[in-house]
Amino acid sequence: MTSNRPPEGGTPNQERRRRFALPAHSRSFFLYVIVGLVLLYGIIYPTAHVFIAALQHEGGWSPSNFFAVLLQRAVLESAATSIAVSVLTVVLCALAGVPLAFLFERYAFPGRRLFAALAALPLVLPPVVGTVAFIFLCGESGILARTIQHAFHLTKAPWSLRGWGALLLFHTYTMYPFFYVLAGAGLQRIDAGLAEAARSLGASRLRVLFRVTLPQLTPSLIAAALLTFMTSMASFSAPLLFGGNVRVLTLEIFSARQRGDTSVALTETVLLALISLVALIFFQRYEGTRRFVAAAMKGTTRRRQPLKSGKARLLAACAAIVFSLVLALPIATLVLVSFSRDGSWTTQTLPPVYTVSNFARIATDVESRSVFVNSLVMAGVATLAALVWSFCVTALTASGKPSRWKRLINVLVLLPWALPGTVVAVSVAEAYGQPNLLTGSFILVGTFWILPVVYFLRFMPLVVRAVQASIEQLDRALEEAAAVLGANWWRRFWRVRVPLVAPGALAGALLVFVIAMGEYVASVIVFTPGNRPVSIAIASAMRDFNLGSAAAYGVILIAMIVIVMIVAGRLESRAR
Amino acid sequence: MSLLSLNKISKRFGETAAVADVSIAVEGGEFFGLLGPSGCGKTTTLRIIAGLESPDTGAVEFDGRDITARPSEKRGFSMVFQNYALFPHLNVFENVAFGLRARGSSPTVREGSSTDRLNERVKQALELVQMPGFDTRRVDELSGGQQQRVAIARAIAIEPSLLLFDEPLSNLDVALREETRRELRALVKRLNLTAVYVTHDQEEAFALCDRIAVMSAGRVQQVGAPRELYNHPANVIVAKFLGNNNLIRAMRLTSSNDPVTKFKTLEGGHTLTVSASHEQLMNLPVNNSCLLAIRPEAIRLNDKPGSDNQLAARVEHIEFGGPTTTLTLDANGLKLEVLVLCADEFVSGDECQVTVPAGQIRLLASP
Repeated sequence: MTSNRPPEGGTPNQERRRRFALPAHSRSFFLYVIVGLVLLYGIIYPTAHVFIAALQHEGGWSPSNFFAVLLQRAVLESAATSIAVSVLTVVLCALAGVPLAFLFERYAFPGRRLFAALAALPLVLPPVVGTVAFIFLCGESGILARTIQHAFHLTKAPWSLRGWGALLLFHTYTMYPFFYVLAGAGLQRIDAGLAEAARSLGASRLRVLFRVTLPQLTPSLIAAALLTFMTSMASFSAPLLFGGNVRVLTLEIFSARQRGDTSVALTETVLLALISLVALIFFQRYEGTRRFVAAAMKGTTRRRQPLKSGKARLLAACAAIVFSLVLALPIATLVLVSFSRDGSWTTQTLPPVYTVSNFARIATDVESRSVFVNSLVMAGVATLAALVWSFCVTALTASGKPSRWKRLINVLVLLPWALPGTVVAVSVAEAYGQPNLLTGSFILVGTFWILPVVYFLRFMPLVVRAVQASIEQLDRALEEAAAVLGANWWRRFWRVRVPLVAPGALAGALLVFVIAMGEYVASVIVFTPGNRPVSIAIASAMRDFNLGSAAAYGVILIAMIVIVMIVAGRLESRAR
Repeated sequence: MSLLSLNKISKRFGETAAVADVSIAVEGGEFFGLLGPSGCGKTTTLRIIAGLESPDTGAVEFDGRDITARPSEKRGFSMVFQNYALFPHLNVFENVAFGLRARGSSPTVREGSSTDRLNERVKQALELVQMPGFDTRRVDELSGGQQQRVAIARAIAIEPSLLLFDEPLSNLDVALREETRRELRALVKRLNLTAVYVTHDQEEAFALCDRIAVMSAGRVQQVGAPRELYNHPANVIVAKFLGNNNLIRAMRLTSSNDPVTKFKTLEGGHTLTVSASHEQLMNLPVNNSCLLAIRPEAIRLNDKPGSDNQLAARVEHIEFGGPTTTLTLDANGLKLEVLVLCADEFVSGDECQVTVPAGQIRLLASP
């Protein structure tokens, strides 16, 4: 044991965890086998396979080929483009999110609550749905462009939603909440007394902002920058639908596979994975050097200041309403379009003919409905598996002595979350696309199971994290009390740990369920025609200009997400 | 033969020795205290008894059997935790029934209809802690004092062969703490249970326990009844920890091992007569320095002249404490604290005579 804790006093949770609930050998052996097998098949083998396959050419070992492909102009360019898009996205999201956080966290004014309620909306929007909504609203034949065109009698659309501008606009819209939410939470945590102390020492407001407030906010800002960067690196739907000539890595991997150019696809997959991992490590290193521990335990929390001057109030209220509209408009547009008849909306500002037939068709038509059934079943299977899996993993890692093996398990479990969905999908597709040592003659690709497996691998880290967090919050004394009262390991697990961790675990699982319902990035790489998920149906409806149907699918997805988020929020507040 | 005995228990956490070479014997029916400052190893010792920690070396014996390796759930003890550790997802009834259900296979619960028997036991336990009718309440609806009672009910419901307490009263306010303390001792004695009680509060330990082990730095310094510990501290650590003591550095003057011996104080150079036991004196050569302890309340002010150990002193400081007043005196460089009921006649700078009764001075062994 390396920790140097005082022998007692306080609640030495960590120490307790070690000795306590140390699973008996057979039980922990069994768990190690299960966890080990899943990690081997799901994460280690596919990831290693991609790396090794990228270094091979026509069956032979050929690192030089890898570097030859790597150094191709197109590959390097797309890598540079991906990084540039991500860096610009981070900058833009910070510029949008941080001031908003200051405005809405620090001041009270009419309209504040409305915006605060809507602020995180883009985060829960499935990217493919968001993209479609954006096209309806801001595209060159979207509502905004048509309004301007008709108002000024222009012969063609005033803009086209293509290229860098469009991509960055969409990225900022969908990812600014990382900065808004994390900076807002950071601002809430900052001890208001520190700013007051600085002011009393004679520092100006500006000085306080730059020397006291912002330095304390850095951990939050770095975390937000990391999330934004990784999400942007993984972004696929937006570059696909309106990226135009912005050829990012995810897109290049997808089209290389479509062309059948495996060696380029593999090399780019490896490249994307490496960039993401390096970014993750870089940000986390930096974050580690910037943690501040509050010197004093007792602090005063800052209350929101009411804006006093009438002009400022008016301005802030207007800003709140405008921003709320900006947030709500794409979704409102989607709802509007979902009631339009397929093929009727051509050059008009708004769709001319309204009908409920899009929803009716989804409810009645077997093929349309099957798309939802597919997604429900696959997301459900993946979620259930993730739930069971997370209890297996935490039973191993959250009890007993910390060890190198447990740390390795943790890293491997969280790895898929750090990798873009494209990488996960490509590695599973490549690893299980032909007979191999691990699966014999069974080929996963082309079966029903490929998508649930990919969903599980991509999203199980979220459930594991949720369960881990719940267990960390759990008072160790509860399980100890159960033990002293005569409850054995099994009883403690089922009667104490599971019921207490359940709300947090369920909230995490529900989140995973809705994300999996709208998953597109990985689905588009490995789906089978007989088993299309909703996102694929939306994309193909868009391709066939069945705008109403595409929107209707999106609206139902959003409705499900809203319901699930409300339930999850309830569960989480109960967990606390 | 003791009911519970710890034989040379040691436990390290990293570099720190939490418990070092602790041996304790607890008799059946005894209310035994583990008292010491925070970090002294008392909670770790209790957790080793409960089976929540395993000792690095040494053995725990219960009823003549070695239970060192026996898991917590098979020991048949129960424990009341500092924060009560009530299960938040279960109501009061289910909390109290938890231990009974967990031990469902034991014959005591199986007798008759098991549910009736369970209900009966839970009801009894709740009545014992004066919480009847609270069965269906959620634990987070209860006040701190009520939670504490439920925790005790849960612990006694299983009729434990040993009841362990980890500072269970420290989260209650002072008035409630004193009241609960009295009830707790009455309850444990009525049920004829054996209890081990951890606390850092000397007053609490004195009020509750039959015998107390004073611990410091992982070691047991002295074991004894409260009065014995207070009046005859075995060493400096115990003398310092239990109440206030004036510690006087002194040197032995006379060589005879008579019960009454003369010492010279290093500060002030006073000659003090001390009654000490023969064996204490055996280990203390003449002209060697040692420590003498005298309680502030044992020193007398302006006594009739002529008694032993009278020193002239000046009042340096007066601290009014309500019912009592503490005077700090300077007797030619020897600082003494004196506790009196009333010191209205004194002001700082007054000269006075202090009497340090020979029979109240304790000769302390070096730790």
